[in-house]
Amino acid sequence: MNIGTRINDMFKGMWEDTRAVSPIVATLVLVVVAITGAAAVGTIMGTFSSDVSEQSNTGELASASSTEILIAGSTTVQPVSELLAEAYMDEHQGVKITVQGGGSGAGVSSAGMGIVDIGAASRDPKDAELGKYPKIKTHQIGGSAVVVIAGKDITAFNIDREELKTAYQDGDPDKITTNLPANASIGTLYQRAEASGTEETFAKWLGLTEDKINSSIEGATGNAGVLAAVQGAGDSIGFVDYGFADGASDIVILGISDTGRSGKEYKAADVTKKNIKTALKKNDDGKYPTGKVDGVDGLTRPLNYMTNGDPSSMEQAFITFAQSPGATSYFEQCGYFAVTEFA
Amino acid sequence: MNKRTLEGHTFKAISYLAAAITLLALIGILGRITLEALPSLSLYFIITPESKVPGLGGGIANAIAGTLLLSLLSTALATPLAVGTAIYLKRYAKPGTLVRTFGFLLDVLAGTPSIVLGIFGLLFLVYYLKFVTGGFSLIAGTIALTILILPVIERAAEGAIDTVPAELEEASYALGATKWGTVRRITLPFALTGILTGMVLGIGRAAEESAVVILTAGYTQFLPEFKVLPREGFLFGMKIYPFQDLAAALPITVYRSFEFPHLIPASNGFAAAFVLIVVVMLINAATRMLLWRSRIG
Repeated sequence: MNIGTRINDMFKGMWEDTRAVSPIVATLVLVVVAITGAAAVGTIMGTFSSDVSEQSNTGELASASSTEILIAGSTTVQPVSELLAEAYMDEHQGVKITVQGGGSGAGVSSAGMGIVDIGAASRDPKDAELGKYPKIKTHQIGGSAVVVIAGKDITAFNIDREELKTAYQDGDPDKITTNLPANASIGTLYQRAEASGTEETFAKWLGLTEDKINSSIEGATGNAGVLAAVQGAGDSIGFVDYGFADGASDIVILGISDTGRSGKEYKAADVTKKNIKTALKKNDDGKYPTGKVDGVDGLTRPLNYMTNGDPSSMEQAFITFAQSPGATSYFEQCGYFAVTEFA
Repeated sequence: MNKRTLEGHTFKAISYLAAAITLLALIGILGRITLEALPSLSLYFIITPESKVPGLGGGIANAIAGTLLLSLLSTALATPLAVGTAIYLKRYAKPGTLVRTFGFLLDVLAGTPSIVLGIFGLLFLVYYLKFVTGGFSLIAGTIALTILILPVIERAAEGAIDTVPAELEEASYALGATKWGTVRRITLPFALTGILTGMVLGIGRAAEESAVVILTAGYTQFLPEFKVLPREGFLFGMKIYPFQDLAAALPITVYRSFEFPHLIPASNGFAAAFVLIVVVMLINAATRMLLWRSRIG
């Protein structure tokens, strides 16, 4: 028999061999092979990579704990965290920062439980949370504010907070009458379709809980969704993060008349970047309602990183980067303010 | 036309209609996803991890790798357990209250909402066993998914073992084969088609799962790495990649495009959904081809 035939037979046998192999044995063999293979490759690569890192930066320990950060929490902070992480990793080779969502509550509790390195929240930790995780340290990296917007058919006016509250509670835009320009009428109200920090801030400022907003009010997804909806309907009203409203076409940012509670008037022309920054900075509600005055919730909110106890040197370095002037543009891309802009 | 013929025609029409509606819905969904995915679908999008693209989104290699690892590892871990359990219940255990209770418990496990297993995984695997699993990690996700798909494969295996003709096994015993020999040479090869179906269902279930994965494996923008690094506070003082490292998954990528509509184009999400369907289809085909040869009957 020549070699050609033998080889041919060998492969023929491979396909035609009909002897049964027990699936258990086959799976077990597969698992063992997979684990052994992965372990072998891992060890080789590990030796290789630690060799390389020892050669390349002898000053730095090639330890996983010193080069990896896991951030999780607020979905408001998440995009800016990802941009910050990317920029930071570009400058610091070998550092690996992973960003996850989960919501502000998850950010606080997972930081407190120590299952993430940095927790993110678009609010300050609540007293109950601090009671449960007393070691939590808050590092403010930025801030944002919610604004009330109207479609292009409505000229800017100072909307009454009490009336806005009733309108959102009852799902009835006709409740808004005070200061409304002549010949103008409000046809539609928009809310967020999903649970959101923006909506929570807005509802709390109105004096409602999020679930008290009338479910008949049309929902749009995300700040971008509400903005697009209000841009599409000239006689509508909605609320978005300031970053989304600033410079957007076909909408106006409304002023606020809070005669019922604080007695203050916030003129539409005063809703500017500068005044929101001032409000964030000094807790000064002269030009825009902030959260820290008279115990009443305002329309501004902090963007926070939280660590369980003092941050490690790696975490501190990243937090410092997030708080540095160089990070401002990443906040702007997401429509927020960096802490350096108002601190 | 008499009543019986009319009845026959009516039910024939109803079943035709039902099949047509199902088929149309399926074609509609797949067609729409493909159509919406087209603007983002490119080789670059598929082979680039999110970490390599500036900004959010833009690549899904990290999620494809994570989904493959999670679904294959959890199925590989669940199958021996599930098939073993099925063989024990069907061939070794004496039928009685205990077996019925066991079966009932498996049904309960099969019906447990995945978020419950996710929370269990978060508390037990990620929090309490952090020094072993490494917190949010591939291994924590794999174990949680194994628990999720175990009853699926087990029930399929039981059903498959039931279809094995008693005559074949009796013939085997009559030829002097031992119980194990019969199970290995007759029962399992004959039941293989059914077990395969269970595995395929298990892989699909594991690949589509998002609640369990986000709570146990977390999410990462990076491709899995293969290395071992020293790390304090871990078992044996080292971190084994990728097992003790975070893992991404395609369903979460799909959700993220919905979560950040202003930063990630919607077509990214649809493209990830499209790839998820293709990946599950490919794994299914590969599993069938790999084990098809060993079947009998």
